[in-house]
Amino acid sequence: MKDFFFSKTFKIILCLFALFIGIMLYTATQSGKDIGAEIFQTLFSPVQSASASISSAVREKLDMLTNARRYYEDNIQLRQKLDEMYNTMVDYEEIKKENEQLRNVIGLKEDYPDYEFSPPCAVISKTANDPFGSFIIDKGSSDGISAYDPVITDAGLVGVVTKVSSTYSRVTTILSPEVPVGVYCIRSGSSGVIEGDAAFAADGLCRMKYIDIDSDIQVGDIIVTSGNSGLFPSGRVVGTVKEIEVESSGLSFTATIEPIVDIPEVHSVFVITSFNGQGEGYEE
Amino acid sequence: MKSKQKNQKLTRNEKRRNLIIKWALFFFLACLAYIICTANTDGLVRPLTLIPLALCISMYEKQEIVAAVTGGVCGLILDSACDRLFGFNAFLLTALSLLTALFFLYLLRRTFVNILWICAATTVIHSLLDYLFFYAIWSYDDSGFIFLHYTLPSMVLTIISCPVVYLIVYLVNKKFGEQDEHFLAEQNENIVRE
Repeated sequence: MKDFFFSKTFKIILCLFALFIGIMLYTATQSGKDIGAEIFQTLFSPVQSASASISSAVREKLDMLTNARRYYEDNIQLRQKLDEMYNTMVDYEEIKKENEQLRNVIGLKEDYPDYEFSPPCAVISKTANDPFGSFIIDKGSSDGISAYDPVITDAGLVGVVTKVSSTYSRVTTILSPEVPVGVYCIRSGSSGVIEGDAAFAADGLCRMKYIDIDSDIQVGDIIVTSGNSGLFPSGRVVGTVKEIEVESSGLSFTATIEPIVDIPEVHSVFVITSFNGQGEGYEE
Repeated sequence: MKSKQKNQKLTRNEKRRNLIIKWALFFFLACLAYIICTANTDGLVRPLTLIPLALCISMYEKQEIVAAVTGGVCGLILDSACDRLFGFNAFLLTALSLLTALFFLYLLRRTFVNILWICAATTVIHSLLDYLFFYAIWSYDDSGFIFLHYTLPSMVLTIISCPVVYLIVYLVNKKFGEQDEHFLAEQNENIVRE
């Protein structure tokens, strides 16, 4: 035992004690900087990380085994809550959509106070293989809709109701030759008639015919309804001029009109059930 | 005697049940065909699957009146889908379904090739009449365009859909239809008629 205190090993241990005391004194005098600890941490952090992951994994496994029942029940409850949340989200989206549609109605109503609208109408099906894109909406006579009521979106004219039942109606679009629309150009005042054409309808376009040869109509001009026929209210945007050409007779222009509403993509419309001048044809 | 009567009673109940299931399935198929006709496919032409459905159902019917009524109902649904004069397709399909039933009862064997020919001929007749009465006689400026881009593709797609419709109707009839000796004989030519 005495020999130990005189051995080389004891001297080395004393040196180690001295080193540690020196580190403590040095650290204490450095006001917060703990360089030794930093070096130690840097060297041993990978080991600490590995150790933490291993212990975490083991803890998770043990936790799964011991608390499996509780997690199973929690899982079922959370799934039920999630399903309720999804249903609430669906209701929210539908209400949001309806709200937006009603806002559009209010907007239209403010611009055109004489219009009476149906509730917002959803497009529920398309006519099979119809070149002119006619469709069926989910509102009918029980919602105040009658035959030949104009159909619009907040952007512009879509067509006219041609058949009505109590709960649904069929809409023929302005792309059809069955729905001629009296129109005029806002800028130049040139008047004409929109007539559908199958070749144009395939591209979602229509033709404006009988434009005076002396008119100043140009590409890009906005075309609106004239309201002369009493079928459509005046001032509803129909589309813009895409192309102009002289009629084969040489006596008038024919313009290709791009409807402001993308008719094949329409999903929701309004029906104007009443407006000033409805049914009053043009009288000389 | 009592057990024989009981067996007959069970058989009659089973027959009635099978009949109800069969016609419920056919009605469901008609609804599905209507949905296919009226689905929003961004301007793409759709097959009029109600036509091969009416003909395939008529092919297996022993009573001509049932075939005619089936054609009529399918025709009314087609009128609704195509926005035609109500009754036009009903009239046409009633006549064509009746003719189909008569052909298969007295002249033709119930084979896939025969029904395919019948469907093709019927579809062509239907398409031409539809084009004539709803576009050609009204002198539309571009009726030729409509024929090339709508009538013809619709005709072709309808004929193409016939094998699928036939297969489904065949399976329904095999499972729930009346297995009469005429039908069995066509399945196996070696069976001798009793």
